[in-house]
Amino acid sequence: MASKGNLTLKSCNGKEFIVEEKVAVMSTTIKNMVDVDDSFAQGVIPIIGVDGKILAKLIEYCKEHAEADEDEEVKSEEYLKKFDEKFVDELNLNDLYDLLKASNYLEITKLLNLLCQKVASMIKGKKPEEIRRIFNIKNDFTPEEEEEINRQNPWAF
Amino acid sequence: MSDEIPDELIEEIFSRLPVKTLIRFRCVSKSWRAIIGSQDFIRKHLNHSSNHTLILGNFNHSYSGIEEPYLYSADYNSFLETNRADFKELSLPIMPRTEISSDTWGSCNGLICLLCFWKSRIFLWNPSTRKHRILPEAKFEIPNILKGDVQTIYGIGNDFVNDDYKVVSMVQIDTVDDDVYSQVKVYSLKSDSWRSVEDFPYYFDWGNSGKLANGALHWVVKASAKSESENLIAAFDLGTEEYSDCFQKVRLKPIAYSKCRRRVLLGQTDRLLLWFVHGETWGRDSEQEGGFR
Repeated sequence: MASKGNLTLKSCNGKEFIVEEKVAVMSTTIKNMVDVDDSFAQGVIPIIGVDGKILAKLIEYCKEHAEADEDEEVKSEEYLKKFDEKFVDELNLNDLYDLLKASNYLEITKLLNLLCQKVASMIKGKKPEEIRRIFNIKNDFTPEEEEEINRQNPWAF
Repeated sequence: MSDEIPDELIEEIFSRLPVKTLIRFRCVSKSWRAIIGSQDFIRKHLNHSSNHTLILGNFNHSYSGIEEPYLYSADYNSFLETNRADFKELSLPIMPRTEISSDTWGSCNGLICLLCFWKSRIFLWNPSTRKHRILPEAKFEIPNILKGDVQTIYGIGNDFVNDDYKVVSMVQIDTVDDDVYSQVKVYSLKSDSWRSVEDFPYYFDWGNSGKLANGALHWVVKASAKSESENLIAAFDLGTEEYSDCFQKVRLKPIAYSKCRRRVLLGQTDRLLLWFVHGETWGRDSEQEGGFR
């Protein structure tokens, strides 16, 4: 059991992480759980659908930001910006998607914004066929329909 | 992979993309096209956009003496930071250029309102999507007995109440006996039609396009046509379609025409440029205060 001020988070594949409460409640979902039901604060909080690897990344991010919120001098805005950049740059595509979904589910707004911005800059200006490949999307237009859309806005292609 | 990402996340990502990329992504798949075309998403994208664009209008005089308008755009945020603007020419949707007047125009959420000489029609143009719409004619019924200077005044803005865009068009005629006659029509983008509203209860001593702030269009006007009449700021609320002069207490100094002839900022071409609205106060130097958006 976690000591006072700490929470235990359990990933879907059974990995447990003991984290400071201030770090865990960066997630609005967890904050609501703890606020509503005291037993969560005592016991183990299951994080559904998030595996240990992704949960560790989430905690890494929340830890930095929770500490920065507490003490701006030690972790300045500039420091956080650099941390954020490095954090997203090191992610591969699969982890990026998994983190995106996890931060959405756990409502970690800051991280969600950061990840959405990352994906947006990755796909900005790409060709439709590249996008289909990256996202593994099936083209459900007939060639005629596709041509019609292209014809409407040739300047965008 | 994307079938695993919920639509709400796709929207979050898309709201951070430029319009050009989104238009291109319409042909990725049917579901993407549906998201990009939905009203909810368009609103989200607009709310998310922190980019403000500076639109500059300029004339070139051709040899024949005809004025040819050119429009340029530049990033407003970087202009504020660096005091330098990198202007790019916008390709106008209507050719020839001489058909377009850049005298009276306004803008709202990236929609630019321009006047076309062809039948004096107004057209709305979105340079980001490159779509434009020529509005139906606003038919004013002006009694024949009226003789005098006719002024036409325009304004464009969004109606938050009805989630619509509106164009306001007014004619004002000085009659021989020092009286004024006015008629006002409002165009709704949703209904694509003009409708008459209450006459304008103030007097324009010069025509100018309405300045949008807080869901209302504003003009510097006079309380009446009498020459000694004081300047005040009149507002037309685009939601309720009511007039007010809540700034009547502010005494306005006469505006120096010559000093501020530069055509800058969001399609606003005229002298009101140096005024800004911030909450309920008006100030004089928009560049310093950044009050114009």
